Amino acid sequence: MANEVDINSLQKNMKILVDNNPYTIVDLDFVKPGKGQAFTRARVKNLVTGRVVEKTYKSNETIPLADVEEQTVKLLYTDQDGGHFMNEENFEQLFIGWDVIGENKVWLKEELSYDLVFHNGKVITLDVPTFLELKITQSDPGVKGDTAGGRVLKSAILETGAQVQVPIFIEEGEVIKVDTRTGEYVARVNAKK
Amino acid sequence: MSHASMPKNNHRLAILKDRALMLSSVRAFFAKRELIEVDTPLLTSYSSIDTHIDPITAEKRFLITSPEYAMKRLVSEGMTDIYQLSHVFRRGEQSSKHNPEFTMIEWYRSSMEYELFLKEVIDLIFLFVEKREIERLSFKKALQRANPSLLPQEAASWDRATQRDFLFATQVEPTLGKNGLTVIEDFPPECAALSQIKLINHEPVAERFEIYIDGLELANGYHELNKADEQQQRFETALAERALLGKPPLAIDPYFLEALSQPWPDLHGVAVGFDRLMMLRHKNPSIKAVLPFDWSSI
Repeated sequence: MANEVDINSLQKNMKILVDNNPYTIVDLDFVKPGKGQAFTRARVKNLVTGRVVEKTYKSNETIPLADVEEQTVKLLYTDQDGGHFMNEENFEQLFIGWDVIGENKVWLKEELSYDLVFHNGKVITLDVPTFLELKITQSDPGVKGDTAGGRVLKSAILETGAQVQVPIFIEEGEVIKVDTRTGEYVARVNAKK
Repeated sequence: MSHASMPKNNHRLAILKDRALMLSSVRAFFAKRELIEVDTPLLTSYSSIDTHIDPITAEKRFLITSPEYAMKRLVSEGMTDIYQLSHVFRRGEQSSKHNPEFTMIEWYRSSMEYELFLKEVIDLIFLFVEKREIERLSFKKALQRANPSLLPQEAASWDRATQRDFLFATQVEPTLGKNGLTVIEDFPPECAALSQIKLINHEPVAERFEIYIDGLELANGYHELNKADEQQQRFETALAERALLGKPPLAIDPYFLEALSQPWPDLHGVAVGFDRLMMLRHKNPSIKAVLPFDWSSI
């Protein structure tokens, strides 16, 4: 049986179970009419899908806590089945299949650190740092005059395989800072090596 | 002190100085009307009993959730027109407009007509904010502003009273006193708490009112129930409801029931949230901003 907490003990970032799935609390709001029952409205994020939903609890409800643990790991290498990682504290090695890594596959680079989220001892998600600095391995040169037509971006492929849009002045071989949530170009990091 | 923090701190101290000014204005308001100030104990052996209000305990006693019972005991002894500026405590009530410890202005008036009493309450509110148009609405009418199809999924398993409370808190309250001051009256009898019940067109309604400005509940008043046996019954109902909700039992205050069984004047009473009035006065949506220190910072 999972541990439970009463509504008054809920806090932001707490990991709870909703319909047996692990969620993290994004925001909490206490609502009480002048007379009557109080409610707590929680915005909660599904730790597996990332989807945010609103839950409303009555003041006397108890909420089951999710047995969730996080570990920071470094990517050693990938193969056809998935990624091999190492826990940076105890040097234990872990294998995570592509099914769990999912769309984050395009942000994996050896020697970089990632956060793993475990639920009931099983890895449920791999979190990628919000910003990564990655090298452009393929991009056609920007064509002069493109800006006049309103086109200021061109597509580029990064060393991890992610396809992103970059400003036309960025060249192949350059390192850029990219927002992994949206795949958007943030800044140029250094000149072509 | 760094220069950058000066304006902010000055603002905070200005609010606290204004708090002192308003406490003394409230006292002057009552002095002029010849009400007597009382200061009843904060730590009592019996708690107020309400289905949805939970006390904080200390030393096997209860911090008061309202000074009501003690003040009514004084009423029964003949101190009939009294007021109190009291800190009160409610377990778990924390939000941008709730702090578990807050300041309540509570007063009682004997032999004063309801309309005059309501005017007195509104006059006190107008010490804090400029006068505005007054709208009066029955609870039933106000509830019609809610759209039940917007209840959350979870509400399917709630009883009707819970659904009603949720609709009122989330859809009705935000619309109340938007361009003025709204008085909600004629509550359903199950919301009577300590108020009398009368019949309007053969329908029982509680003689209770609430006042809102800008969606903020400011006052909760009653035509006070004066029958010990009926009060005892209501306590028992509330205790049964609490048990259903899995809340700890509370003992009924025998001193209070004894006081109610004495000859009793026709009495109106009200509780007004001092901190909420300060929030409105300073146009600040957070109760923290008007308190010396809020619950999370002390």
